[in-house]
Amino acid sequence: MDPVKLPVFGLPGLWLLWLLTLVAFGVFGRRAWQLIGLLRQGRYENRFDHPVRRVLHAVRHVLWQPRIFNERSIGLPHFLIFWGFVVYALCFNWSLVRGLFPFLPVPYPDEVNLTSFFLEVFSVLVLLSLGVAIVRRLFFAPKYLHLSLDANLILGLIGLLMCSMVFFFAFRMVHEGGAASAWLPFSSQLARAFADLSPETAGTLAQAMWWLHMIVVLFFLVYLPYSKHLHLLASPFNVFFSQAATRPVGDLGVLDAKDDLTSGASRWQELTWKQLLSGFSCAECGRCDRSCPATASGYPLQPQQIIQKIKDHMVHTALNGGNGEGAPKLIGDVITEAEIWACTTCMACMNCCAVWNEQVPLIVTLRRHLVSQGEVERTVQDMLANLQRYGNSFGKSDRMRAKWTQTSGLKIKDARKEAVEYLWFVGDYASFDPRCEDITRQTANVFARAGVDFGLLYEAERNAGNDVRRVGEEGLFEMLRDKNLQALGKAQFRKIVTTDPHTYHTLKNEYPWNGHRPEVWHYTEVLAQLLEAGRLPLQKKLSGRVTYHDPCYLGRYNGVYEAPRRVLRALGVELVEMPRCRDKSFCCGAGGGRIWMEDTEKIAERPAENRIREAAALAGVTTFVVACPKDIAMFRDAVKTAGQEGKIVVKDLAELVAEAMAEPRPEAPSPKPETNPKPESPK
Amino acid sequence: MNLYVLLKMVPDTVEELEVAADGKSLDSEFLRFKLSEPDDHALEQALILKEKMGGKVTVVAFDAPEVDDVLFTALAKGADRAVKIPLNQASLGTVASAKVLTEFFAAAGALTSDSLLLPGSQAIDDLEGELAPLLAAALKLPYIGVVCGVTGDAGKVTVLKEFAGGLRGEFEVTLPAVLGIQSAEKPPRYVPVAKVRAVMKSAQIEEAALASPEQPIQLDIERMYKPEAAGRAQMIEGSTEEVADQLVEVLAKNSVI
Repeated sequence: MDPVKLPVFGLPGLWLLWLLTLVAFGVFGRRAWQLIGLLRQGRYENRFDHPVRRVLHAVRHVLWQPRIFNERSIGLPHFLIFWGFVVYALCFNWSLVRGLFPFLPVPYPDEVNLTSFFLEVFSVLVLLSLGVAIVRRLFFAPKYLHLSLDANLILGLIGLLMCSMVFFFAFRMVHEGGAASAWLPFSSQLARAFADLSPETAGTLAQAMWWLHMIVVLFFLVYLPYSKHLHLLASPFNVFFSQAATRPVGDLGVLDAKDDLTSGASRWQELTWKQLLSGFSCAECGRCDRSCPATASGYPLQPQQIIQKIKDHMVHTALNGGNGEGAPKLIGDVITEAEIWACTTCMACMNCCAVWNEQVPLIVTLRRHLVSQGEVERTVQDMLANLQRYGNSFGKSDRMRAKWTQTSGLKIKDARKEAVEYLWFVGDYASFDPRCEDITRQTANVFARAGVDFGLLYEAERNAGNDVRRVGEEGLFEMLRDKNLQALGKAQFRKIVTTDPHTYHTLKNEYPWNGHRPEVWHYTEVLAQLLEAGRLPLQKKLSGRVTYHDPCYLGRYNGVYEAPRRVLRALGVELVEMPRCRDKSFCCGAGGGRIWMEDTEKIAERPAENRIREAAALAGVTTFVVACPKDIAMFRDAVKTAGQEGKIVVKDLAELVAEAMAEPRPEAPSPKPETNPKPESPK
Repeated sequence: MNLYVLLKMVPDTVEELEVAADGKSLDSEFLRFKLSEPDDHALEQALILKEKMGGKVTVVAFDAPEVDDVLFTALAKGADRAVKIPLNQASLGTVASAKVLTEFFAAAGALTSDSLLLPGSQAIDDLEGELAPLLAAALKLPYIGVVCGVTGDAGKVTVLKEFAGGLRGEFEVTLPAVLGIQSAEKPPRYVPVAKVRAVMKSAQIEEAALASPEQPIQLDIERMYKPEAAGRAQMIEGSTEEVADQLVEVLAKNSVI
């Protein structure tokens, strides 16, 4: 039976198929060309570097989709729907080519046993998955799910496709005499239900099913680029071009940019083509919103909305004539400043995005525009001015940077004057914040007692620029970076060790070392190395149950999860993990310059308080271990505001190590939460 | 509107100030200069007036360390011209500064019927705020100090002045005039580093050749010293009666009772 050879509604089947195909592909092609045209209006950036790495990345994340499985209920169904789609798309095209060119000496895919088997198996699997999806939508819809007409229409169409295929097989079987086939186990069963049909009727019905299938597919083709299901065409490219395939996580640089990007984007045309592609790739799954600490706390930011709003704005202004008088402005009307400033750059969204969108660099691009217009909130402005003038956000003289060393009981080397193995890049908070100074002194003593040969840059050290860069002040970042590189160039050292994970990330991944990048380590990594080398003189075992908070810039940004845990276990404490640990760690709310901003909106609960409650809920856990000076500031404050004083204590890993290294240090008792100074307002 | 902002560099008190060996001046080794804060507000007020009224903003400064950065920053914020008077500000003093500035503005074409001169109301080394009134007197222009808001109109401005006790007064001043600015109506704006750098590459700082007054017009400084430590506080602890007893003892010991 060749459905194309038979007339349909009086028209020769072949003509009809040609007509439908040309119309469908014509409409699809026009729309695709329009959308590509939009991307081409974006700014240039090179995303063609390291093609082999990109291909491997794309193969893994398009074909295997490990990130889809990070949400279990929909992981397997999506995976099956995807592969069903692939098999169907291949067979559809095969079928279409065979139909359009009847002289080709090949059978239809449904006439080949093996392919018909696959078509059948997948149609059943997809129907089952659809069942899951429908039940989920009707009865167990999570709050975040958009129950849009769009999504339901697509699910309906997929269902129609699968049913038409299975019924086609069944009717054909009846038409051809009703012999069951081992290759078509399900439709063989179905055929028995229609055994009473005459062969002619069954043949007509089979033909109708074939045409129904083709028409639905062609309609799908037309509808796709107008719907959110554009993601299934755009996201494979998005994954291939993703920055993570070749560059450090959350990289804010743009390769081979032809425009000056330091002043960011105020119009969609000032975003790069890759940033614009994000909107076409987004499947509106909401993973990013669910992981976002700002969203969870009730700030106006939802990472997915940023992506979606840019896409809608672009399509509306460029294609739907929304570009006239009073057209909304990208920043201010479409996306508010409050949304842009709420991001902590914690990387949770990008870490779970199944299509590898890059929300954080996009938000920083928008911030750059605000900074270029001087539209920066007062407290941030003061910090930037301080950093510009003194090289630290505390507004203190650079000569005060190493003041903590005077009471450390150590003579710490000046790496600018004598060679050291480790240059310790202490960072602002560890150097200046009164809450952190004592921890910094204890860290120095731990290093000294472990025989680490280390030195400082003293007053030549500047803020490394992580927060400055994420606030969107690229020029100031470059200024700080250049001053640091100049100072580092004059110092003699082999490796760098940092206290602050934010500093760690920036020195390791964002400084151009001209091919001579030194090894950069976080102090927790150095402690773990010392431990393994047997150089940590631990005197006693500590006891008690502790939990460990993974700092964003150490964990998600740089994948350091094990080193601090190895040290903790060696100390003798019992490590209990929070539900959100490792790459699911919940940000303290300080990153990306947030530590300098004041909460003007009414929010439900600050991220740090939410986190402390999570830790306090763990049975028997009384110590909350951190490995970041900003965490000390944020969480010690949160313990008080969340009313958890006396229940849980925030300690730095270095404090615990110092404690286990015994030798009583009466001048530096480990801090008790009730004696902590009030958190400093960022004035 | 023809707006002039007078910028002055003052010692940055974030750095530790040390008295020099001569006991009469600040030790210059650790001294860093920064723009006097009221002057920063004067610039902001000028930029706001320019945005509302149109016109031109000229910033004028004496030579001092880091003054070029400040002038370029002013240009990046939106000033149109930057003029540097190549005389050492630190050795001039307020009275001589006013004299030199008078000459600058007396030069042909500097003052027009829509000119407004905006010095800061005071500075940490001019707490009396002498510069603005001295300048106004010498130029025979109207003057109002401690200004915290200016709105422009053709040929005149309405000025908001702060008085003690939370009182405010509104004045109408015909131009040209001198206004000592205490604070602008909005905090000074932020200008990104990249913009300042771009201005450094493209813009020029003009130099105004002016002679230093022949005789130094300075007060003689006899002695400069850090505030001397006052008496120490003593905490008295215990029950009410013990505290009372100890208090009586302390007062008696210090011959108060």
